[in-house]
Amino acid sequence: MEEPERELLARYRAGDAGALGELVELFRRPLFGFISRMTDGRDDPDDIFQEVWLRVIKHQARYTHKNFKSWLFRIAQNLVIDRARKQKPIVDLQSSAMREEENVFETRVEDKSLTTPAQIDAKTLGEQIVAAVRTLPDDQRAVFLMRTEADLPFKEIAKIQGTSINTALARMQYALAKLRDALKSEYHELQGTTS
Amino acid sequence: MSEEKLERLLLLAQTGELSDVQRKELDTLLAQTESARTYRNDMEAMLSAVRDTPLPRDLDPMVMRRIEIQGRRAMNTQERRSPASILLTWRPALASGIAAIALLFLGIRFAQQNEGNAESAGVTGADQPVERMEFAWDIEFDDEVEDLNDLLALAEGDLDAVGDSEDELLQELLKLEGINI
Repeated sequence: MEEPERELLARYRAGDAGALGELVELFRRPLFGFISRMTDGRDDPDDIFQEVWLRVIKHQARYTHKNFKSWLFRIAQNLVIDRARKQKPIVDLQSSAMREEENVFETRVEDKSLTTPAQIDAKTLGEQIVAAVRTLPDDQRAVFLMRTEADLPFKEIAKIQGTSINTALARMQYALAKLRDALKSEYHELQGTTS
Repeated sequence: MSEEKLERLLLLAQTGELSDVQRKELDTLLAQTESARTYRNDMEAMLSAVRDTPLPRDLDPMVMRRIEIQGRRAMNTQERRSPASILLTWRPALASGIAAIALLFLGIRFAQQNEGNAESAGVTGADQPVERMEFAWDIEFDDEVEDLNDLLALAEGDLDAVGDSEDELLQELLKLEGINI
């Protein structure tokens, strides 16, 4: 019971309903971040987030895995893939462009806390990387986001994807290479600030 | 060391998945090579830039509320399905089941007792001629089959095959057609 999620799950199983709320809150940002960036407007991330937890509630009695976080992200990944498969490939360029503009606008509105030019640059680079992440194939994007959003180790990512650790690592490396390529100029700027 | 291998080691170092040998190899390289340190810093900056980028929007608070409600509901359902509650809910059904089993057991015992009496009286199943019991519905069914055969024979024009009740059958057929003779 060294991890907080195990303790919370045990408390919920013992009849403490409030423990579930704490458990959901504990994974709210990484899980919603993963779903949100994986779906990228194809599906409602709120809906998938809720579905993941409903499945956890339904199957928690049978849950025996060691790593709760892996189980959670496995459910999330499967749901995202299932929904993407079911969905018709509708390309709505106008709404996509509008959404991107809205995102940028929302981010700028939220960026009141930014003070130094270095932070502003980092923020801009982050947005550009996120935009480039959208262009990655699903399996590479999933690995990349499980690392960045959920901080999962490669061993667990490999288990979630049903592959070897070498394949998971290779997918991450492909993703990084593509991102570097897509962000060539920004990457050189970044090299200038970090070296 | 190639850039690819360095990147691989750096990625594994971030997650604490390096072996001791790999750890030493990476530490030596980072200590000796400026470009390796730059590469590490760039990669870490890139990954943390993604982590620090806010999401387009946050989760709807109503979703959290709905999950909690579902969680409570599931917990209540589980309590209702606990072994003790199942026993309480199904007590009448359980009593009926036990009574049925007891009756069945008594019936079997009674049948065995009767068989034993017959054997002790010197009458065994092997001595008895096997007779097929005939029930009322069997007799009716046989009659109907016979009538049908007769009707089929009539239809085929094989009058010889029809029994004595030929006239009666013809009359019945005509009756079915609405003609009374």
